[in-house]
Amino acid sequence: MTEAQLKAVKDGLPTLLERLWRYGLVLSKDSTAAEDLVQATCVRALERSTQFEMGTSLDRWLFTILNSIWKNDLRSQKVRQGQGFADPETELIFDGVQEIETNILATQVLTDVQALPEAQRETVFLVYVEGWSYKQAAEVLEVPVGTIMSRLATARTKLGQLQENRRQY
Amino acid sequence: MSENNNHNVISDEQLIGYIDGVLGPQEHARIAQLLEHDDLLRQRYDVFEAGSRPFKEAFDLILDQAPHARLQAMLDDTDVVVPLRRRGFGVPQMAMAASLLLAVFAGGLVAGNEFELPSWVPKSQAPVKAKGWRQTVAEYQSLYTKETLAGLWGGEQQQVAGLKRVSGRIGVEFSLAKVALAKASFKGARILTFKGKPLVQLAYLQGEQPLAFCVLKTGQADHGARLERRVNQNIVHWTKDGFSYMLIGAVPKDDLDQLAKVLEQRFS
Repeated sequence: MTEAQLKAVKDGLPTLLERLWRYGLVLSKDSTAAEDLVQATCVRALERSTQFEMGTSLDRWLFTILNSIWKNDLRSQKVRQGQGFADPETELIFDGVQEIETNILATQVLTDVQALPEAQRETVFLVYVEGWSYKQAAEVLEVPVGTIMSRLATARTKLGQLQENRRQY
Repeated sequence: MSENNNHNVISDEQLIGYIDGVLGPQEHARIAQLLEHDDLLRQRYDVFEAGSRPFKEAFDLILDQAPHARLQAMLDDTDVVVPLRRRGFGVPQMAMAASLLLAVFAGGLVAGNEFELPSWVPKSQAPVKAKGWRQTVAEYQSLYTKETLAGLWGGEQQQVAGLKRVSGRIGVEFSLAKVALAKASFKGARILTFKGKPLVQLAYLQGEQPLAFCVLKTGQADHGARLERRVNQNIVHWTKDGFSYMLIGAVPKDDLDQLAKVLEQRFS
């Protein structure tokens, strides 16, 4: 049983690296930190492969690990390194990632989402980008389903306001 | 103004569930019905719908930016640690904690959202429904301002060339005369892609407001003009001979309808 789980994790990881990195980017807003998060996730996933239930979704299991590492370990480190507060209007949306110049609209969507507070940002990402149900997102983020829905409500309200502000200028 | 106060009965969470298409069919129909008559509920709905964006499309572009080789190399370098013993509930205290949790779930000792879904949420926990083409167009269109698009518009020569190109791609004929409107100025035409199919987008400007007239070969049944509202914009849409047309803009619906009538006559 141990071998099957390890094999499942080892076989699945290479196919999920980019999505994990993207999620790391959404959380940390920093491509170096995102790489660190993926690495730490791989290490922990391989160490804890016996905890992976065969037949369940490997991607959500890995995303849960990454989320946990960010919240419990790396996030406070990054804050201490002086990332601190930044004006969302002026900071680079993803430090170190080439800006998508050719698609103005995509850049706007990315900027708007990345300007949201972390709780709303991660929820919008897991539900509307990864396409998971409220319950699945709640499991990855380890919060109640009701929290997912209220975060989506708040995020949508904010995103709507941002566009309304643009129209007025 | 609506007579009843049903908007108080529908929570924010239910409205979000409605927009995301995860409610059961009965609940969905109930809210759809209420939205038709309850202005206050409609307003709350509009606030949430205004936050719709092409999230997946935008974030999928990020995947191309991933440092794939570095990530793979890092994974290859990771030493595989084979666990020496199973983790889990082997310890007696842990076993007790586990069975207590089980009792809590099974017996429903803890109430509220923590462990129980609201009764109107379907048990299947459906993922957010796939977007139709009009919703996708509305999400993109909501991001346009006059300034956003200024760089994409061209002079008459480019407009004519653009119209010729899109006509060829979709099999509907567009010409300067056919797309000209008295109350909005035509700016340019281009082809976008929706689920692998060519979607024609004609851009207009009415005062400060960008409008778009879009055409997609949907193969749907013919129907006359219908009005709807998405992401804070009005839409008039119709289908004729397997082609679906939509005119969209953040302008009053009567203004939009006037323009749509002209286009509907020309494209039928």
